[in-house]
Amino acid sequence: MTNGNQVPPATNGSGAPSLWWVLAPLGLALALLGGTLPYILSTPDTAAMGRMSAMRPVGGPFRLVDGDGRVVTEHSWPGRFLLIYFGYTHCPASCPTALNAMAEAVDGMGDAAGRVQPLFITVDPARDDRATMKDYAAQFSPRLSGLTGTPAAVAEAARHYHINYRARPQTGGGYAMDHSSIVYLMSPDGRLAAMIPADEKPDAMRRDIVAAMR
Amino acid sequence: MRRLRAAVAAIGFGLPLSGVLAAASASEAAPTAASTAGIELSRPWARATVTDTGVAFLSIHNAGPADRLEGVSTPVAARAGLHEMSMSNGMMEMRALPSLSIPAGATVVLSPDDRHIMLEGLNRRLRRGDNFPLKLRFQHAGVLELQVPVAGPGAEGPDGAKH
Repeated sequence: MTNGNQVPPATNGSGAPSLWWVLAPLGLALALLGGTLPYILSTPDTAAMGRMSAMRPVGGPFRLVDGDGRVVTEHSWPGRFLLIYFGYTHCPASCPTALNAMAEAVDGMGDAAGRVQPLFITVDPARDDRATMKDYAAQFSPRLSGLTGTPAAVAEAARHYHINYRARPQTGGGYAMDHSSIVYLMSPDGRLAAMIPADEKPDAMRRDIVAAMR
Repeated sequence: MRRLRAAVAAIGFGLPLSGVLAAASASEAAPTAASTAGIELSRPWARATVTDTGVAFLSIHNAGPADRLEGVSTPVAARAGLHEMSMSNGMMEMRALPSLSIPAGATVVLSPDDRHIMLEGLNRRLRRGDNFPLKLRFQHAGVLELQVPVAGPGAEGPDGAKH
């Protein structure tokens, strides 16, 4: 059980929020000029995701630590698809929903489950040490690996995956994290295979994953 | 769908059923449904926790005049409060709600999709199968207490319910 009441310094996965907001409309314009958004989603955030995808590809190198203290990178699961969600363990609502869907989706895939590695990457390294991440991930599925790292390592990973996050102080003490909430399926060659809404039900998520793995 | 079911499940007939539920959850004082002055609480549940932060949900039906949920408390957490989750520019944001309007005739469902009761500074780990008491303070209906059963960490509803 962790108990952190110190609000960590404001962090942003992209490193430069003001620049991002300047570039976002430009990205949208480019996407419209290009004619097609690279990925079609049936959520209200399609436009935002499209803007991000139009700017630079999703994915890239990361160097984090898993629940057993092993250093892991994007190459640590050769031949497997990576199913990635960024969140934090003090997250009350959205993260458990997403992680439960990921766990149920993969656990219900039969033999194909072995081709997918679900990953939960914290955006709250100040509170989420590796023991907490291990304990938390295990609640959802033995397959799910919880990753943490230094604030810099987390910020670097988040930047590659277009994840923004910031601490929001709570009345009465403590803080919550605002964060981008999206599930990524990365193909074994490191390319984005699918973006899946984080509130999708387990069966729908499984269908999306299986379809993208074909 | 869930809202409909919650409305149907709203329990408004006080003592006899309360007694049965209290007996079922063994040695727990408060029932898992509560009702007074038109406010009916039903379908409470919480998610199992790992950290000192937890979350609880329930349905609030108002068969009386318009009311307002003004406060929440539980002996298992230092702080309990209403929160609302929203998506803003692709960011999942959480905000504290000072109070929650319960219109006359309405059923307000707290769920992982939007509004929830945030429990901070838990003094014990909430484990699946546990119960803990929760008090809700309404502007007109006063204080209602009920027992909240703990479901799995990623549950989308109380144990035993289809989701």
